[in-house]
Amino acid sequence: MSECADALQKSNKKSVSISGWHVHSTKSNSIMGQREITSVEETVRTKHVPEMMFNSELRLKHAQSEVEFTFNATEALKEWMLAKNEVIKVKNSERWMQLHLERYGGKKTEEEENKREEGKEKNEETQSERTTTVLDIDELAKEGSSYDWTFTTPYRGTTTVRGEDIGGGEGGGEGVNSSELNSNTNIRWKPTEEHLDMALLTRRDPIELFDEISLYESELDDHGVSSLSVKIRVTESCWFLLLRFWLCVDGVLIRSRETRLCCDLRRRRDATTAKAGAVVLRETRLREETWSQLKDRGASTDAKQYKDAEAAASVLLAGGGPVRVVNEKLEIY
Amino acid sequence: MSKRFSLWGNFWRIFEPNSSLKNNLLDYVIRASKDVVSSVSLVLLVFLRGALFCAQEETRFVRVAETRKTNANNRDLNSISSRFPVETNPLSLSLFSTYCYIIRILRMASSSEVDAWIATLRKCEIIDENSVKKLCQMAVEILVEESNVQNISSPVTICGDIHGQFYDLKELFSVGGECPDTNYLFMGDFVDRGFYSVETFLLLLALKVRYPDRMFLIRGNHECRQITQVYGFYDECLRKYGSVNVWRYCTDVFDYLSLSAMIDGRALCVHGGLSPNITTIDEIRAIDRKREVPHEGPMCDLLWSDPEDIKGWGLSPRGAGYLFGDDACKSFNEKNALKLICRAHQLVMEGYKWMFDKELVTVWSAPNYCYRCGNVASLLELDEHFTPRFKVFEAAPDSNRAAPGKRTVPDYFL
Repeated sequence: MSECADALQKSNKKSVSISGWHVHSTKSNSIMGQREITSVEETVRTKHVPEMMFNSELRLKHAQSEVEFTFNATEALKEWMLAKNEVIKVKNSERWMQLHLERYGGKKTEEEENKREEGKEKNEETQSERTTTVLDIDELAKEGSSYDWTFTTPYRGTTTVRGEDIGGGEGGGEGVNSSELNSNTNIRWKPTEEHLDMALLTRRDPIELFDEISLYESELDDHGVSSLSVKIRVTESCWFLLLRFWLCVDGVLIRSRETRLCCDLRRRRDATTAKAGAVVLRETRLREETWSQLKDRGASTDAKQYKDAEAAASVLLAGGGPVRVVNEKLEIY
Repeated sequence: MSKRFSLWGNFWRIFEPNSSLKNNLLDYVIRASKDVVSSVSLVLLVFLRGALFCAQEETRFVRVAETRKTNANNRDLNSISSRFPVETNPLSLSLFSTYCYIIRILRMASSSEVDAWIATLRKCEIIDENSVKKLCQMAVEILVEESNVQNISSPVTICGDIHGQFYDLKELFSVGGECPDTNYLFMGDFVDRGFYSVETFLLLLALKVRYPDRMFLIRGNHECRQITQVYGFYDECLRKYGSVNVWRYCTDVFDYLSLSAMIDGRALCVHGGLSPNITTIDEIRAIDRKREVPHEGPMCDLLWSDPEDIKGWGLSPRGAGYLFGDDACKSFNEKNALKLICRAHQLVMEGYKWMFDKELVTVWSAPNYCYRCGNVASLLELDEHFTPRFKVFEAAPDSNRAAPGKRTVPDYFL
């Protein structure tokens, strides 16, 4: 990321090397300025990016095999652009559209026309005062250009082997499919039955490195929140990271995509083979519920409960609800 | 009024030997004289106001005639307003100054109370519920008189969103000058998201009440019941006062806040932007604003719409709200003889952002927004010659705030 150079000066860097892994986190203290935004817009090829983007990055590198995991906003937004998600409408959209048509015309089906006539008679005075411009809704929509303004990304980090992208694996669905990749390495994300070792993750070993990094965030013009952030913890027994995409569109839906990566650093030592390999487990939890689905299962529909990813996660964890879980494994040798 | 009756009722008790009232004799005399002054001046006021109205009508008539004459010779509208000051009639001038004087005397009575509130609020301490109620009533009395388009003359300092960042507001005042020394226009979004929405809004409101012709507040999209219930102000009121009364008083004031301001007839200031339903300034004046912000229509658009690099008008991809492009903005400015649209509403890392060949500017006044964005904020100063000057400032240092910003603490997350 050469274009990020000037912003990186205003950032906090942390790094640690442990059991053959180098972990570097770069946390920017401020959102991107106009110049950086323009450069991201060019890289991602869009004119619409979240208003809060951070030039932060998390890198984990396995020195021997040159397997590297990277997490940053630009890559996440690239995958957002490729995902082509369905465009969501805010809560009062329908009513707004109806009132827009009453005011300006536009789509003219006979029924609507009659309705408008009735409306006109009722507010004869106010209507006649108003401007007579006809703003066609389809024309307007073209100018506004419809894109996924929620910035929902299937991103689960970038995995490279000796600088070559090996794809996101199959679990996420929308990412690059690894089987289509024509590369000279056999290191792949593969489905597994293995789960994250909770006993390992709940151990209270001294923390060698901890960081919480926000990659991007949007207030959706006061219609909720969309955010992507990553947390990392390195102890002598393991490294563990959580990448979390969180979306709440007030009164419409919630969407959560959590990706957890864990590497048991003792596992290598215990192995009988002389080769210093490693196993990284990845668990993806996808959750999406509309307001009416939440209401139906008796969960909270108070937007305040879901104001940020952390608060929402605990509410949802306690409340249950449907979750899709994908487990994968990357064997490094 | 009831105070006066009880005063006479209690008057004779002063001569009772053990009366505690005796000690308060001086206090009573002062109060009684205040009552007399206010009754007399009230009568005078009503009379003067009538006279002033007649005089103003006459001046306006003269002015219009003069303007028409000049208009034929000179088409430059801007030069006319500077050549003909608003009040040319000597009678109306003298009446006007007397009127102002009486208003000032009347305000003196309550100003000491307001000053006390301002002093408390400046320390980032809240005032009690009854004081809030009183302050809000006083504010409504002033705000209800204001037009939807307030006329402000330069020099004035224009500020964008504050969002309850109290210590950064103090930083703003130290950069831009304290309130009665500098004229201020705040373009809405005083509350929500920050930690001190209550203190921030009440301080601005108290300054408005104390210096109504030096402090101007217009409404932002957060100044409404629905939004404040989701984004923090409601909860903050409940937490700090234990009841929602203060939130009720404040949101009632929101309904009276003006929608826009016009500076020297050359710059229009609004929170959000333009509306396809508004082509002239008079159409803003015609809006009945004393209500909750509606979900659609011109009033909603002024508080919600955004400028965008498009042609004409666009629909927000969210399915509600408008976007306006370069040509929509320029044709509005041309039609209304405007040089500039000032607005807030959108976060900008650099504190301000020009658009549309400098015909529109976004001003953002919340540094380190939400205590984590690390952005700078700005003030826009417009001087007598209408030269825009930005003052950029950073968030108040941690040593100047009561609560330190959020820090990441290592934890055993799962």
